[in-house]
Amino acid sequence: MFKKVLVANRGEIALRIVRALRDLDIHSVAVYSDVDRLSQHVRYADEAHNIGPANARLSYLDGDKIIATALACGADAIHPGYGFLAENADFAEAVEKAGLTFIGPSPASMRALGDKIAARAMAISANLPVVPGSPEVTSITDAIAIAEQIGFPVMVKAAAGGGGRGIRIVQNAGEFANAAERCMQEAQAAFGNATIYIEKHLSFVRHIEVQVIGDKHGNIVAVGERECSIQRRHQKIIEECPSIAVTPELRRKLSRDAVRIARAANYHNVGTVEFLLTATGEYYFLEMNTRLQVEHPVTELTTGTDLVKDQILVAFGQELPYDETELLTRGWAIECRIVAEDPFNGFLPSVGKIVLAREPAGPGIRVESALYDGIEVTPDYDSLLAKVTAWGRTRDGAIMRMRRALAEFRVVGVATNIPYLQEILGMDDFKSGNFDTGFLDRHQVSAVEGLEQQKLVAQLASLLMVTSGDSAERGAASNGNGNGVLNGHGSQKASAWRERMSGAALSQGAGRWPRSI
Amino acid sequence: MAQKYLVRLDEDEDVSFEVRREDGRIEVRREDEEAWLTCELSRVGDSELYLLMIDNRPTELYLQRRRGGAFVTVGRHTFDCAVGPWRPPGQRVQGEAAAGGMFKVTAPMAGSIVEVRCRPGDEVASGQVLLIIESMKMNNELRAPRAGVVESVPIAAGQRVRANELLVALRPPDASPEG
Repeated sequence: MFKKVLVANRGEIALRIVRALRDLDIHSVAVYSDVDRLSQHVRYADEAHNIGPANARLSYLDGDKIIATALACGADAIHPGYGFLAENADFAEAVEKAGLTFIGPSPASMRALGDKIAARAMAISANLPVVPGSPEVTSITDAIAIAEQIGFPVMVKAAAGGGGRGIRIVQNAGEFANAAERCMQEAQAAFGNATIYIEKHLSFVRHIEVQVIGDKHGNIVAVGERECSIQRRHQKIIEECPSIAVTPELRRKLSRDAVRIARAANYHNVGTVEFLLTATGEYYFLEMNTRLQVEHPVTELTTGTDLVKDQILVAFGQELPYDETELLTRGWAIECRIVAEDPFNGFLPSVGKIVLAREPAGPGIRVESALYDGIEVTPDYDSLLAKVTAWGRTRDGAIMRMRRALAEFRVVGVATNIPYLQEILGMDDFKSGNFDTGFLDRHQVSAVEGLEQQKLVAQLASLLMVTSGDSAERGAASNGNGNGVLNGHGSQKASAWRERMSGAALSQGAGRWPRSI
Repeated sequence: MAQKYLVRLDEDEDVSFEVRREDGRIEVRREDEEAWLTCELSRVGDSELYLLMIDNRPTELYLQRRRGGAFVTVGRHTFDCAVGPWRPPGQRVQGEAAAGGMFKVTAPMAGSIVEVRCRPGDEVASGQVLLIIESMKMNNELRAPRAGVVESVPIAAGQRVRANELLVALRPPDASPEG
């Protein structure tokens, strides 16, 4: 097995990988930018190296620097996580050339599937249904002709795109030129490649994706589907495993198709095959993501797998520890992405210091997060703060646990989308599973806040704080830092005890205190 | 014997409360309310997390003391609460009118300006996009909070801005520019 693995990422996913490495008894190496020095992925790793400034291009996206760091510290392999360099075939190739293992698919598979047009051609030849669409176009007049041929409405997408960027839905020929132009500009700015392509826009579709994992011995297994239709502006925010819309017959078909395209791409490691599912049960291949997905925990909770661990095993060359017939799915899992965006203010990103973070726990709850008290949320990286996953025997049970967990989650210092998620989870159409990818755009879900009650709480708290008697005031004056008990009884005793004990700690040294750090 | 206090929220909204102590309990009554609420505020450990019990119903809040009051975060809001002895209503200070009728559009977060879609002198409608600011790899539209005429735009595309930095100053549609 690998002795030492470098984790080329940050935040919750870097911590997730560090944990998997520890479970495998592999030495973990974190890398961090200047602003991430105190991050959990750094503190929980066995070894950590600074790789540059906050700007990701000069740190987390600097493949040469990361490979040099891996070589210098004697790592055998690099795990890219998701985002950053995860789908960069040139990076994967450079890693292999440096004599290290890239924990992911081969550069050739990444290239074949990362180019959406080539992936589409591969899907057609592997006999997968695809959405009617165009090859790559760089001229707007060509694009209009194709759009008319396919029939409006159409979607204009960036050929090199991802994460929903650049995508535009065009209803008629009149709007087309402007939309195509803007898509090209955005594609050029974001990916350095202005090439676009056009696809028939299907209405009332669900986004269903199938998790696959393959080893280097030719075994490829489908590990169930995920329902990712709850999206805001093409960004997934709630994911489920399984999908309420997938029957056992459909699941077999999707799984077989997913394995077929993975086999056609000579795929190993984890990957995700995305499909669109129409209301009448037809489905179309959309694309294949050649990396670990953000939403992988829902699959892990229902199948009992550890996808991050498994991808390390297969990258080392081991055979997959299970085949499809050995995988038993159990119950239902739902994931909510907690992002630093303000639902009361047009979902603007919210940055600043999180002075207090308390994550939910309890039966059926798993939290993937790298939050800590005092963490700075900066505009340099994406706004994902945490992922909460709830498991239940039934879908309803998972939803109830998720609602409980979100109500327990405390984040002070930046705005989050938690109130918005709570509203979605309470909607009848969500609870009955009656939704498609346009659900959130159609329903103006507005978060509810109960401002009057919050004002009363603030007024009462400040009133009690200020009027809680002279003892509290004195205590505050002496340590400049507020006081323990604030409502009169016992406060004087408490502060006297604190003063005595803190004096003792100072004079005798902190080493006398029992601790578990 | 109850004592009366005035709590001023965000330098704007005054509400008076009565406070009385009974058998070590603290009871509070809000103006215009009949019922007394039994309240208890306790700090949780050494953090700034507090537990406020109102008639045995727990609420967590985050509280930072300041002279004569506290910043209290509950839900998504941080309220600036000033507590003082009660004064008759005539002496209450009302919220300040916006100076000179100007309205400032400030940066809601740190980021960089991608595009400026207004110029001084432009008449803008409420909800009209004034500029686009990029933060966390997302382009965000900043819209006019009200109708008005653009007085000044002290930033340009490509520039990085701090949170709360002035981006666009608006004056009411009918007001003429100064001088």
